[in-house]
Amino acid sequence: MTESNEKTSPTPGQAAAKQASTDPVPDSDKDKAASVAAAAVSPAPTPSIPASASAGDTKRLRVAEPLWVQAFHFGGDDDTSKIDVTRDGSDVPADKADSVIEEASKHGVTIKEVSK
Amino acid sequence: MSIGDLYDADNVVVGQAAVFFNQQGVALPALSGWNTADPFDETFWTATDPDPAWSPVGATDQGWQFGADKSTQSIAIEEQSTPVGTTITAQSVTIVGSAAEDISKILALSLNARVTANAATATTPGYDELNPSDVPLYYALGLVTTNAEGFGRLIYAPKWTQLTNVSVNFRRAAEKRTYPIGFQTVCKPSDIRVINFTAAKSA
Repeated sequence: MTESNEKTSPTPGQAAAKQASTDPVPDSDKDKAASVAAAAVSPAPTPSIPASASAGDTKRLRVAEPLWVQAFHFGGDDDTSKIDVTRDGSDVPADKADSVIEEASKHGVTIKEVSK
Repeated sequence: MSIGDLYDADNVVVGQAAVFFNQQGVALPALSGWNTADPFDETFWTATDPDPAWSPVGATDQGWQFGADKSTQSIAIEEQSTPVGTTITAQSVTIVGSAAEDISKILALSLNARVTANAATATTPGYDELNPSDVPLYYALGLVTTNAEGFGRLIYAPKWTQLTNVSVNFRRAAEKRTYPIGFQTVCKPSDIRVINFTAAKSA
């Protein structure tokens, strides 16, 4: 089941890449120049992309307990928002990590954050 | 001297056993954590906080059965009617029972399967999915029971399989569902530890 799901469901990295493709595109160089000029009069510009939405901002989670659970699947009904956490460890968007851990606990599954 | 002087009736023991399992290779917890006043004290298994944790197999239909079945080969010579020696050709050390709790843990054990837990979504309820494997899953296993002194006994081995044939009855009211469980060691005999506690910790 785990293997078949991996075929039909994107990995966290793929999901993040797809999400990134739909995120606002960073300003062009021209816009950046204008932003720099604006920054001269406004010292604290609002970033166009929240830090939590960065494709590289992930946490590595793994299924810790119980031992007979091999993986935990979390997420929405569309494949892009589905997150798979395995016993070996999976990188998930940082802003989703707490939700995954909390939802897993409702199913009797303990998920721990591990260092990358 | 009467025959009654040749035995101690207090050594005749009736009692149950409990089985704890973990992933293969997990060492037996330190014996310093053993509670001789209560052999079934679960803190022995949880005190060292192994990852993953030891888990009790749970309730059974008629308790657990421990066995060590040996196949032997007699060494004979033409000149003698009785064997001149005996060898052990095979040995099967087993812990057998019928698990009586109908939950994902027991299904996973009885079907040689792993569980994939799925969170509920707006359109799909949460569920566990089990997929039996052609590859044997291995477990570390410990059986706990009492002994004549009351201090307890442990039987442990680091590697067992559970590949017993499964047949489950689904009845309206006649009986509960049970799942046959038969652990068998797949390790060196010397890796099997039978520990019979004989005294409490010294003061």
